[in-house]
Amino acid sequence: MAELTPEQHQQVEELFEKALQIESELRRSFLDSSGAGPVVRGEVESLLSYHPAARDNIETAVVPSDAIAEAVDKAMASDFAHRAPDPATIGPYNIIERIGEGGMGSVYLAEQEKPLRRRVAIKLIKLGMDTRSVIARFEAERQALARMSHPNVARVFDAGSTENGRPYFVMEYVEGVRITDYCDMNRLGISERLALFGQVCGAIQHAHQKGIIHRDIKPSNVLVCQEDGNPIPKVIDFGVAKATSHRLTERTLFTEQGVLIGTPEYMSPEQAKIDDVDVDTRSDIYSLGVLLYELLVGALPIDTKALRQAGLDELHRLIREHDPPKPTTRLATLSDRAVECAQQRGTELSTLMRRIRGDLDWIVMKCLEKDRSRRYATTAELLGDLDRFAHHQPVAACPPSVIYRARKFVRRNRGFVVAATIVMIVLTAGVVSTIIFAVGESRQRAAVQMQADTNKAINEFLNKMIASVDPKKAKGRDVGILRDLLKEAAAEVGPELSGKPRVEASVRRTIGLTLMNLSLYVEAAPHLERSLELEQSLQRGSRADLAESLHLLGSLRDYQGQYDEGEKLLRKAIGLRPRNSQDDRAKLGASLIKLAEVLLNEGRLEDAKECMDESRQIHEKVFGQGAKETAPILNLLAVYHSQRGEYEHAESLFRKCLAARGESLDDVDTLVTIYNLGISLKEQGKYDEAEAQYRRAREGYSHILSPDHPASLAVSNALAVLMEKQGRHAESESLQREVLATLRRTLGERHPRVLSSLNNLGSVLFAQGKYQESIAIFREAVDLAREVHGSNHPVLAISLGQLGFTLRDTKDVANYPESERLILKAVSIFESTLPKKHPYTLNTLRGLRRLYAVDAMNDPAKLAGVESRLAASGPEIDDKEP
Amino acid sequence: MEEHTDVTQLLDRMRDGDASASEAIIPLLYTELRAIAAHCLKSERRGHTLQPTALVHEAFLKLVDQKKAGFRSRGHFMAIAAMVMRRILVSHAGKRAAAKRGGGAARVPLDDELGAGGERNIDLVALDEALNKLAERDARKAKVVEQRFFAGMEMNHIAENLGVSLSTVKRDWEYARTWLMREIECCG
Repeated sequence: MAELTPEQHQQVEELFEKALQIESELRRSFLDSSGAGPVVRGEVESLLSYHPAARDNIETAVVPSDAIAEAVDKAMASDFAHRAPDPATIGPYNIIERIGEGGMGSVYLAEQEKPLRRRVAIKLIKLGMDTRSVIARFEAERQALARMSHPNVARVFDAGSTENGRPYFVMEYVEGVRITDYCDMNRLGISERLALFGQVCGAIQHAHQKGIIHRDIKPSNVLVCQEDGNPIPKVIDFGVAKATSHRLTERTLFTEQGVLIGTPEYMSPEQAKIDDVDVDTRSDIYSLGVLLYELLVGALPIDTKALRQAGLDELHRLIREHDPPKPTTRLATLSDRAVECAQQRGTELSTLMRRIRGDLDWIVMKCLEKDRSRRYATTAELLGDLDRFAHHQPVAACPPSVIYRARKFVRRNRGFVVAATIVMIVLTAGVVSTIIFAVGESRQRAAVQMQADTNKAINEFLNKMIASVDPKKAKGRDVGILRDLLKEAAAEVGPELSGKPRVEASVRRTIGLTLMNLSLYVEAAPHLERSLELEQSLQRGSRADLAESLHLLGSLRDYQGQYDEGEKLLRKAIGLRPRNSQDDRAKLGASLIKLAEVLLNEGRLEDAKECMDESRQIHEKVFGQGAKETAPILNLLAVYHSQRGEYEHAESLFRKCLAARGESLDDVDTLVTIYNLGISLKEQGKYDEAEAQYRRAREGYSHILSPDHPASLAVSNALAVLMEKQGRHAESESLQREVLATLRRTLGERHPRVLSSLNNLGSVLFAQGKYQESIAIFREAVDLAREVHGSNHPVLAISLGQLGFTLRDTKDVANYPESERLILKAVSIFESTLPKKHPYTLNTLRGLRRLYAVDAMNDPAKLAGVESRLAASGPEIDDKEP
Repeated sequence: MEEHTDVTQLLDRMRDGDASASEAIIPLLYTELRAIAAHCLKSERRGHTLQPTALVHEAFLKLVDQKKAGFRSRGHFMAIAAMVMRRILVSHAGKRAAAKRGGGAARVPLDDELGAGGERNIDLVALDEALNKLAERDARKAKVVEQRFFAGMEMNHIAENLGVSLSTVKRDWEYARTWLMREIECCG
């Protein structure tokens, strides 16, 4: 095939597209009349002949699922090849074999030659941690660690780093099994288990006396070995958790298996805080409590499955706030496993229950107190209680009083306590009154009416209460409290209302809606499903209520991404919605909006548009044009037009929406619309106007949230990017500096967002030719990237590359060697962490070529080397530096 | 939930012009894809055909908070996912093809496994090469194919992403896939 010129390509594309619109029999005559030359015409005909095959075969990729799993595995293995082959030596130690593999890295059995010949265990930490600080933190404890000498403590000898910079720890080699496995395998009874546990406490007590906190007590760190025929538990890994704890939480996201590493089950509430600085000996008491719990009933206090399915925030919240059941309560819920558990303890279930119930329950629960001042203050106190239990004396631990529990509840709920308590009271009061009113057949009719009224009152009140809890502000623990509260309420209300389907359906709708508003979709689902089920089962149910249940469940399905199901439900809701009163019609409009959202999410733009138009009509008819209530639909329509790239139209709708909302800057929805308006202006190139909107949005956010709030900063960043686009480098720079300073102050020096802010600022400086300042900023970025992401991460490589390019462009010969070194380093990181031929790698190589091409560096051999590497990578597509 | 906010925020940062954000998403995406694929393997879905595009969609739902993410975020996410999925599938297909050539008849090539469904699979390695060739001349068209084929993106999302009109994307798609088909059949 002859190469076509760009003009010919253009012509081919145009003719091809037109020909496709025409029935195939008529295409020939169309081409005849087009006046195309033979080359173009031949090309078009050739393409047309392949069109049907293309339609059939190129739509979306299809492969069997097991092939995909395998493919992802392989790609990950090659892209994130952290697992190097086992080394032959680590530092001065000869490796004998690998004996374990964990989230943190691998454990090896090794041999030490000097100063004495002995076998040691070496824990080699994965790449990705800052080795220097790991070693530094270890060094800080080295003296204290050396002073430890206890039969149940495995010695830690040394720490160091390999040539590749991976930290390792050298420990006494313990040939043993986990304490929990040991106990179960040998069917140890409660007394024997307590005896072993007592020794573990002794080891921890010893460490605490030497000023060492273990921080990571769990079965895999408590191994039982045989010495002279006696089982001896040995606590390993002292000093390791502290040295490596930094950033452990973030690392959990980067596991290869998609499974959490680390063992959150044993983590104390204070360790589950983001900063993890405030940890003392009582954190170990907590972990000991978890271990004892497991030794007693063979299960963990917090359901492991729930823990691992939860996101990181949720997980931390669970640890901080979830009150675990007593061991015996837990045991009672284990059904078959409880019997097995009793067998493993050489006894019957009922005997086991009797043994643990009471004192042992309270001893464990005292260790597990969320508030550490209520735990045993020292290991000695815990040992004391265990000793008293063994001798049938009264233990210090006792069940918490009702008042104490109530106080704890209030303390946990803090800001929510007022709203929450009222919700509880209303729910309970409502339920009680409906029950009272429903008594007596003769009064049934009246009762139904009362029920309906009460019902309505409850819901209105609840909705008001709940609406006052803005989900946008109720992040983190607060959401948890509200959810727990709702869960509690739901659990208590459920059985009470079993004979009152109407009320139950209504209460569940409210609970489900609230949970949905809090983005707790999984939790919302059962309530909304049940409410629909109830409405459908009602003989003479209300159409409006059924429609509402359908509407809510349909909305939930949208958020859950089940668009088909969502569409089905919403269409049913729309069909059922009464259209009599204004209120009815408003609700119909709301269902239409929701349906439009579903369709938009499915990418069915035109169907969505139809719904939106209908909804808009209804809203404008019911509320009048420009009424406040029309704002949501106008916003959605505007989004629709932005999606189609029709920014002008979007702009006018955003403006209408703002006019309807009244433009008061103290409402988050309004601010989002203002920001959206800014974006639609920016996309049209109306930078000045866009800027004005951004500034308004920022002012609003600063006012209702705070100038330091992430939302305000996000707008500031957008503003700075906009200024940069307009060539207003100096202003952009000063704003970026402001953002950077605020981020540092509010998020800390070491936050990933600080890193991206540094990169942004560096680029702004670079664009102004302020090379020296730019270099300084990129140097900071490099240091931070190394600390945050480790020494072999693409994000670090990006910063290294940027620094290298900046040094190169200073045109100062003295900077070239460093520039070369940095760019080469960036290339090698990209090559080892990204797939082959990745654009970042190629672009960085091109940056290197540019360096080699400058006169002063003129090094034909190196230039040729880069050229050939680039040539081997195929055609050049994009010549932008990353 | 952390994963949610993480990716959702990263997407926001991308929209605000932060280039490092997209790179930070990739490892998260791999991890999630791996988890979903592993889950498919374990569960009853084994042996069934799963579209990589469905996998990408599932990853999106898991990683991105539907309520907080804007429409644009979805597009950005999908574009990255398309790139990642292309790498995954192509490198896998390439390895398989290589294994078949060198290592005897141990493995069935991808296209033979799909006979039953009536859907024919195309040679992904050839498609990848052809795509690179197309990108040389018209990078936008290659992007359209990548995002459509490997991530199953809706046309309007692609349009939004690439900053062109919907009709342009549709035209690009028809032309590009036809051109690719010919390229694969003739030269593949």
